[in-house]
Amino acid sequence: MGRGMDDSRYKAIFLQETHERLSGIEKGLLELESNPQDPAAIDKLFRHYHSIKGMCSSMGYEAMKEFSHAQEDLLNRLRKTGEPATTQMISTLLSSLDALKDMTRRIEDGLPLEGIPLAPLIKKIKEFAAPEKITREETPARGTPSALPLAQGGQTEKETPPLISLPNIMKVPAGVFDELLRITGDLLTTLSSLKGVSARSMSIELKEKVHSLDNSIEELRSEILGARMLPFSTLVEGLPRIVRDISVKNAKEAELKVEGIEERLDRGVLESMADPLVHLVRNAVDHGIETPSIRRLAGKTAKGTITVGCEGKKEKVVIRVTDDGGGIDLNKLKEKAQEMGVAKENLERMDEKELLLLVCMPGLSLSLSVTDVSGRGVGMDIVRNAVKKSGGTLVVESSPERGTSVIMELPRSSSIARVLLVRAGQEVMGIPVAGIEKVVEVKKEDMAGLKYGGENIRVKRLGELMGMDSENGQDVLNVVILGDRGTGECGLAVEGVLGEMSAYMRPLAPPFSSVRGVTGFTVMGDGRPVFILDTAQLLSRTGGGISGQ
Amino acid sequence: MEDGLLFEVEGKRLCLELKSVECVVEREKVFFVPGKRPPVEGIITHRGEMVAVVSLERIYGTGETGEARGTSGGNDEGPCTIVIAREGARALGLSVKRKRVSFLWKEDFENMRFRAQPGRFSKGSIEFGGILAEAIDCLAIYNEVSSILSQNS
Repeated sequence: MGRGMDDSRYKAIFLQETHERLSGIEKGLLELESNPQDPAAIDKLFRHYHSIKGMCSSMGYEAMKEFSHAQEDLLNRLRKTGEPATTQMISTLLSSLDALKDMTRRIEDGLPLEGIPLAPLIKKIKEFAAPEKITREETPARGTPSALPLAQGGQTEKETPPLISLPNIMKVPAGVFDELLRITGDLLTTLSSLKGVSARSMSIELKEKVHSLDNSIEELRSEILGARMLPFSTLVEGLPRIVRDISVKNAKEAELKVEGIEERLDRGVLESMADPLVHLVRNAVDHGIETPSIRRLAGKTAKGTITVGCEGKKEKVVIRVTDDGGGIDLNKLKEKAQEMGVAKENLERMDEKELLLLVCMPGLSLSLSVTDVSGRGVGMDIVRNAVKKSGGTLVVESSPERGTSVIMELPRSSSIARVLLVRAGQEVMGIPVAGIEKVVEVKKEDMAGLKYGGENIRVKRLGELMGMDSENGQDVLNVVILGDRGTGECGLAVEGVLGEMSAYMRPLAPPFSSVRGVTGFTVMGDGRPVFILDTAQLLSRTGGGISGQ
Repeated sequence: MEDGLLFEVEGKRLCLELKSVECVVEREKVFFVPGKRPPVEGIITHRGEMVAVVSLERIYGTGETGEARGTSGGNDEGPCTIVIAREGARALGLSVKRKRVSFLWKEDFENMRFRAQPGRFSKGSIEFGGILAEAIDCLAIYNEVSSILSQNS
């Protein structure tokens, strides 16, 4: 059986790919039989066997690898010599195909491959493949093949698999999952409406049905979200080549390390991070990593290292791109920002964290020259916008001579999220549950001295932060305590908590794309739009945290 | 000019080509949007899409009536007729009062004279059958809305 890589995820991909290849072989052999010297058919068949051999090798299915290798050899011979495929050859290959299918089924069922006697088939294939053994008397294949019975491989009648069987794994266009998610979102909206009707109704039957529907939709949501999850490895496959090419072009030496490839994220989140990652890795090689001579002078190894890592944190993931290059020159950054129109006094008020985020200003570049890779000051702007659109947060850390880290904290899945519905003034807003520590009821006069876990909590009215006049004389308010990165716990005071729900998050499109403090919106059953808050951005409104009352 | 819609705002007549009109809806409430300020009244959802609603009174008149209807959250209460105008992906809600909207058919525009005098939110003026109306520039209003909503970002 397989070794290290043989876990269920790789196995599923292996099985899916192998099923497709085996179907291709079947079709190809039949084509070859009709046209025994068709070079295109032979090439196609060769590629199918070659791929199966490669996949088996990666998965550690040695017996299957050797077996497909023998068949590949035969095809290779036909390809090189231009000799026609004989009926006997096709029949042997078809029998071998049946054996390959049997092996695939055994892998699917978790059974050992050792029980299949392949020796007679391999012997026959090798006889065909060895040039001295090919006799001219054999007639080219024509008409219906009489495939050797699988019993030749030692199978009993009882074990004979069905002639037609469908694979258990299906390949479907990714858009199908987007559509399923959208439909689930619509179901959630309708459910929200039904819940309202149910709450006002006296009918026990209606309440039970709504409850049952709620459970089913939740199950559906969970299955679809699970199906959309892909490993981080799918996102970083192309990065080593980018690092290599830019290093060569810039006479630099750099290697890429990838960590956390097994972390799984929603396809939509991964997709949105594709461009930002390319920009960040390009920037790291182009601007971060120094030339070997400069690195040596700084006491570093000639080869720089760029690390791209992904780390799971409950419902969130942190993607970090770090280089061990020269770091960002804060003074140069301030100069460039001033040239771009940022007032000196504003720059003086900013802490290091805020200053470093200036690299995301559109048009700002610390590069001395514009290359085809970077230097136009658009890359980090793209990164910031993509992170914002995904409902994440961006932090830049840098130390002179030690390097730079760009840290993106993102939701694992951006499409459907659990949100707490709260009331600010007359309006309803949604706060992602993932960022909430606790909700407490507090008297207005106790707000200033509010403590949580022994720490003082800085509280601000949500309505005030959102720019609405929400003061309504209410004595007791709810405070939603948020565990915010880097700023400690903060609280948002709201006029009421309406409950928790699974919300289908719709992205903010123009003209709402730049509305501050919100990450998306959802539509309630009654058509009411509810903004989903970007609490990190709201908190940063007052300079890295919320000020006290 | 093809068919159109004619509005009257504080005595001023405004005209919008019917091909720019997606539909006319009636809503009980226009909801709050962070960063809103006149002429942005708020938002509504229309076929799952969020649409910004602007007050024509605020754009083309003094807007005093709109102000009087304001609530604590700054939203308008009560039924409101909204013309959804669309150009490609850009949708905009024009808040009007039903009694002030009338359809104009192609024939009404016979002998129409169009004077291209672009204003901030106007493409020019049209004169037909003794009526003078300003041609609404939806794109200019849309850009203004975008600018307002991104100003606090």
